Formats: sequence, structure tokens, C-alpha cells
Amino acid sequence: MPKKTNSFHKTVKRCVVFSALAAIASACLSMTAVQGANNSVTLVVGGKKAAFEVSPYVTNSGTVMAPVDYVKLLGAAYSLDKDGTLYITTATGRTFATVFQNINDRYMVPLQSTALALGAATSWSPSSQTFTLLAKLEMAQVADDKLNIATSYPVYYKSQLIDNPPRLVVDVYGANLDCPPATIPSNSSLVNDIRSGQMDAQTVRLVLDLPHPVHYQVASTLQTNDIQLALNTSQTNVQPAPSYSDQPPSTEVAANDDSTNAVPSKSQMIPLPQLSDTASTQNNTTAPSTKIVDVEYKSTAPNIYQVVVTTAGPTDSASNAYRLFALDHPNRLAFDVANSVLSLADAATDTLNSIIPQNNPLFHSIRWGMVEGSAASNGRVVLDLLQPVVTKVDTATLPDGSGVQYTITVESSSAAYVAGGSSGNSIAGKIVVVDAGHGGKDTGAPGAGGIYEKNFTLAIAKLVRDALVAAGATPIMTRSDDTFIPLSDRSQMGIDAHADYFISIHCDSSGEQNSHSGDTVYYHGDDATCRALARSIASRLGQLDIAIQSDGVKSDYVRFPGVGFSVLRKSPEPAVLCECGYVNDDSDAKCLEDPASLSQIATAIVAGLRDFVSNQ
Amino acid sequence: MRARAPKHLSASAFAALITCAALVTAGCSHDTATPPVPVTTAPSSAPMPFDGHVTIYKVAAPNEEASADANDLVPVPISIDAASKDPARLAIEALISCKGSPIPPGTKLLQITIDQPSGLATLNFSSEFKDNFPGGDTREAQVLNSILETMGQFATVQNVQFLVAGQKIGSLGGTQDISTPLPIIKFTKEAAVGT
Repeated sequence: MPKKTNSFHKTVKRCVVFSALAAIASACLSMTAVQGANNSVTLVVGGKKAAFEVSPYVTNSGTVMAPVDYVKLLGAAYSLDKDGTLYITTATGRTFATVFQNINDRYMVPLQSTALALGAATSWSPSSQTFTLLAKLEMAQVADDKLNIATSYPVYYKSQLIDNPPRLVVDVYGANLDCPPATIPSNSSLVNDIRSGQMDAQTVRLVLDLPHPVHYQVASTLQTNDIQLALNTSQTNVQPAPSYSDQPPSTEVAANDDSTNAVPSKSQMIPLPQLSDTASTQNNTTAPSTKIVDVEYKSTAPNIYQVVVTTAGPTDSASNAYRLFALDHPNRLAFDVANSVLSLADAATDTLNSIIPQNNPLFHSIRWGMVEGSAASNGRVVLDLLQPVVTKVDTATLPDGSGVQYTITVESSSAAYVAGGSSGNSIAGKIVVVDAGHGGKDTGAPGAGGIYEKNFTLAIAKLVRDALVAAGATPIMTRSDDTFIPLSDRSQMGIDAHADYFISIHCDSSGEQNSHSGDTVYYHGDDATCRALARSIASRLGQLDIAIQSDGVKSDYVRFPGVGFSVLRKSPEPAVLCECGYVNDDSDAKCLEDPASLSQIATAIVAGLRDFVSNQ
Repeated sequence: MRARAPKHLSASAFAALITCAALVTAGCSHDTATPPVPVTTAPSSAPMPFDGHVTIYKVAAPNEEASADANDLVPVPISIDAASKDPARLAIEALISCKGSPIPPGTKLLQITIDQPSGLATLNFSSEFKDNFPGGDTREAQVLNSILETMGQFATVQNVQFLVAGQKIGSLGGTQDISTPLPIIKFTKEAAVGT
């Protein structure tokens, strides 16, 4: 029997500008506007600056134009019809036409209108000449022990478990919450509630409060508009790992359309309490029957604070509707109890109307007062925030039945706090780039029998990938077949995906046949973190009983003084390059041709990564 | 890297330079090919006064002491025409033609320019530089480092842009991006970072 579904967030708002655009598309602009040197525009997508051969620019009339290639960053595609009409097809399969200009053989399209049609939230900063696109978080729900998060276009994301209390955190990059932070309860036995918050301007964070620790499996592709995490109560019940697809089928994205149950209808949304300043249609003839009698503040754990609001009066939920929402300028949280009045017993605090917490990094004061609406009024408690937070509200009827206690739990949404979580030391949920060196026309060193370095690196990389999947991590393969991938694209894949680690797989060749042997793990420059990761992997490789002997770790400055390997230099995440033996050494080459040995090497690399992560 | 053949410190390591030097002096005429080079052309120069002595960096023979890095390069002092106004070209050409050169066989230096004051040296090699590269991560480092170390002795040079047949390429062997300039390497035995 399917479990009940709880979900929140807005219904899908699809922009319907297609027909209007199509109507003017036939009158394709034939201007010969020349891109000026001082009118170029920075386009930020997915939280990162996008790079193009022809930069976006702003026209004299103020329209921001961008290369149509940008739509690929939003999971869309484009094509030029034979009649000269430029069509854009969204990730969900809808097609619309757009006007364009041809600048240096690049189709430049109006950014605002096309981005809106693709489902993006847009913002423009004239001072920095920066145009930002954010995916809209359309839905998050737990159904059948699976977390689904729908976004308006494909995004990257990252998940992790945190202990004390157990939580599952999902960060959605380049996304906009598009509504106040909210907390909704869950009917799943595995999840208490889902909380949402805007972690920073480019990242939405969802927190699932868990009654018990769970295991989970990422069941969606790396970049998707339908994030799926499968939850399980125990390791033994973990569902089989999803068959890893090197090339995520486009149908997987296209299948997530409005017709699926992943996107809730408005009736499925958790209703906010009917409160005075927003509910103009409500019947407000009821006199206030609830009194806010106490406001308490306490710290329950490092970086977790609680504000407890106690009311006196009816205890049925219908009479005690509440809401917690964010306000800005300045940033603050507001907690309203419907149809309530203030009646604090403590005269002193009643007079001061505030609490000033000491050494609280999250909020600098707690205030309360009455909010006078057009039809009714209610009591409100306000937390003046110092940084982005995630929140939840627990309600409990007082033991004597005289009222209700609302416990507002506030914790930091910063990555720094999460990094300090006690169980962030698992590679489950980590995104790891697995870079199979060389490929295609770049064969790498020739080995015996017509086997090139590129063949060995791919074989090892695939085994590393499989070991990562088995450990619950999310691998990104820079290549999964015999394809040439430019060096700069390899590190960029990790950057785009907000990867946690980058592991490049190579085999060496040097000098005369059989003059050198062994494996070496390289780290970049004098980076201590990367060196620790390299040592951890080299330690595991050194424990293997295979012909290829471990030769420890080296700085890549030994190989390229002052610059190092390109993929390590350009990877912001901890990165290592493993030279797995010499293809021009008979003993090493024989080992590289043995599947069992390759499997041992791959397992050791992942074990080394796991050791490193667990020691962080 | 584990060296199977032990490398002995050899006092006669520099003997090979004689053959290199002999090849240099006659090879300094400018090439007639004029591929497009998108940099300012200016005469290359060496630290003044130039006494006719330069150093090239070749791959160590098994009985030679290699540098402290992982690339088995050894410095080889050579003599070139002290009156030359193009010592950088002569040094690179000596590197190409010397015994133990890591530069892919058949490679020619088509053009060399050094822009001032930027210090950007642009070295335009013939297509053999890429086509005849035999593969190998160590070999790739040897090729690039031998050039960057050889160019590193000229005070007027700060960075090197590699071109092949007049065009920028992404990488020679798949571990180093050379589509943009690389900094020269000031060679010292202590320059390389150990473990």
C-alpha cells in the first residue's frame, strides 16, 4: 500500500511565453550589433560563472544577450530550423522558438525571456553586470520511503547524513527556494519532517529530520530535475545500487513531467495557518482565545538553539494554528500563533519585549509583540538572524492540558557546521570524479601487444567507479569509453558537479624497457590535504600483494616544477593522480593485464579515500 | 617511480655536450618557413654579457646522475657562437639535436620570438613535435621540462607558449595543458619538491 505523501512547495509555474516568442521568431533579428568591449555580461548558472567563446553582452536597449549554448547548462538543447528559426527544447521536451542575433557565428538569444521559458528564476545586477539564473525548487516530498526533489531544470546536488540528531541533508546547487523557509511533517516512518532553507544565494538546503539513523541510496543521475534518494532502515535492507549509467538517458529527465506524481498539485501542499496579515478572506469574527504566556531560550547542542513559546488556551490544533517564516531587510524569522494575544507572566520580559542571547552565532535577539492585521491580530515572536539558518517547530500539549508548547529549533545552515557533523566522515553521498587518463586520439604510452595506457586507465577507472557506487558515493567518470577528453574539461566536470574529490588514473612509461616500475600517487604542490589523501591511498596500495610495488607519494611539482599536473592544479577539491605501474615494464604490464590485480588496485584506491575521509 | 637500473654519479656526465656543441654552430640560420605567430616579434636575448655558454637539459643516460626531479634530466653545458644575437634559438636547436634529447624525432624549431617586456617566449615547432611524440607521462614531462629549463636560463624569458605548426594545441601527451603559456623553470638541483 503506498504510503501517504507529504510535500511542500509551490505548484509548477510554467512560463507560457512560447507562443509569443514563436510569433516573433520569424522576424529573426538581422542586426549586426558588434559586441563592445565594455558591455560584456557575466552569466552565473548553477552557482558558477559560465564561460563562453562569445561572452554575453547587454545591448544598447538594455537587453542581455547570451550564446544559445547556455541552454545546455539548463539541460535544454537547441536547433536551427531550415527556415532559419531557432528552437529551444527544454529538458522536459517542450520546444519554443526564440529570436536571435548572429555574432561571430554564435547565435545570441535574449537571456531573460529564454531563461524564463526554461523555468529559471533570473536576477540582474547592473553594478556588476552579472546575470544570475537559478532553478526553482518546485517540490520536495517523502513518499514510499523515497525523497523526491523536483526542480524547474536539471541541477547538481549533494547529500549527506549527519548525526546527533540524525538528519539527511541535501544541498541543491544553483537553486532558489522561491518561498519562505518551511517545515512540514512527514508520514513516513523514516522521516519526522522536512525543513527547507536558502543556505546561500545559490544553494537550497533541505534537511530531513530522522527518528532513527537510516541508510540511503542516491537513485537519480548526477544532474537532474528529479532528485531521488531511497531511504532504508538498515544496511541489510539497502536496495540494490542503481545500475550506474555512464550516459544518463535523456528520457530519464524527460519522463519527469507535470503529469507524474512527483510534482504535487496545490491541494497537496501543507496549508499555512490562516493568519491576519495574509488571509484577507478568512472569517475573523473569532475573538482571540489563545494567550502567549512565556518565551524561553536555550541552547541544546553546539550550534543548535531552541526558542520555546508557551500558550495558554485551547489545545486543539484548529485553535492553535501557527506559522514560522522568514523576513528580510534585516533577516529575521517570525513565529505567529493565530488569534493569540501576548500575556507574558514575567513582567520584566514583558516590559523589555526581548531576550538578548549571549554568544549566539545564529541570532542576536528574540523579540515579541502584536501584529495588527486588517481583520485580526496575533502575537508574534521574532528572531533577528545573524546568518542563514534551518528551522523546525515541534508542538506539544502541556501536561496539565492548559495550553501548547511550541519548540522552535534553529541551527546553522552553513557548510562549516555541516562539515563538523560527527558523521560527515563517510564517503556515502560524496561526489568523486574518476578521471581515466588519456583516451581517443590521446593513447598515452604504448604497452605490449598493442594495448595503450588509455586502455589500462579506463579499466581501472571503471573498477574504481563500481567500488565507489558500492560504498554509496556518486562517481563522475570523465570518460567511460575510448573518447578524447581535453584536459581542461576533466577538472571542469568536477567543478560543475561540486565534486568532493578528484582521482585521476594513469599509468606511466619511462626510459628503456624494464627500467622503471611501481605505482606513485601524486598530489598537487605542497597541498597538505591532497598529500594526506595521496598518502592514504598509497598506504592501501602498499598493502596489496601484487607485482606492482608501491613507490609512495610525490608532489606533482616533481613532475612539472612549479605547475604540477593540469588536472590537479585546476581541481579545487582534494585531488590526486595515481600512476598505476609502468606499461613499459614487463612485470607491471603483466599485472595490469590481470583483472584480479586491477580490481585490487581499484579497491585499494577507494579504501584509501575512505580512510582519508574517515580521518577528517 | 622506482628506478631499476641504478644511476651512478658520474664525473664524466658532461662529456656528451661536445657532440651537442658541434651541432649547434652551423644551425643558426633562420628558417624560411613563416607560419603565423600571433605574438610580437622581438629579438631573443640572453643575460648580458653573453659569453657563448648555455646549458641544455637532456635525458640522463643510465650511468648519469639525473636531476632531483622524477624526470631524469641532466644539465649539459654547451658552447655556442658568442656573437650570436639568437642564443635561445641556438640552445633549443642544440637541445633538439643532441644525443639523449627528449624532443620527438624530426622536430624542427620553426620560429622563436620573445616578447618584451612581457617575457613571453613563443616557440613554434614543426608538426613532428606532436606527431612523433611517442607517448608516456614521464616522456611528456621530459619534453616540456627540457625546453622550460633550457629557456629558464635567459633572463628575458618568463613564460613559454608552445605552438605546433603555428597553432596552439591542448596537450602534448595528456597530462599537461599547453594551450596557455607555462612558466620557465629555473633549474637547480633543489628546485624540485621532494616527498
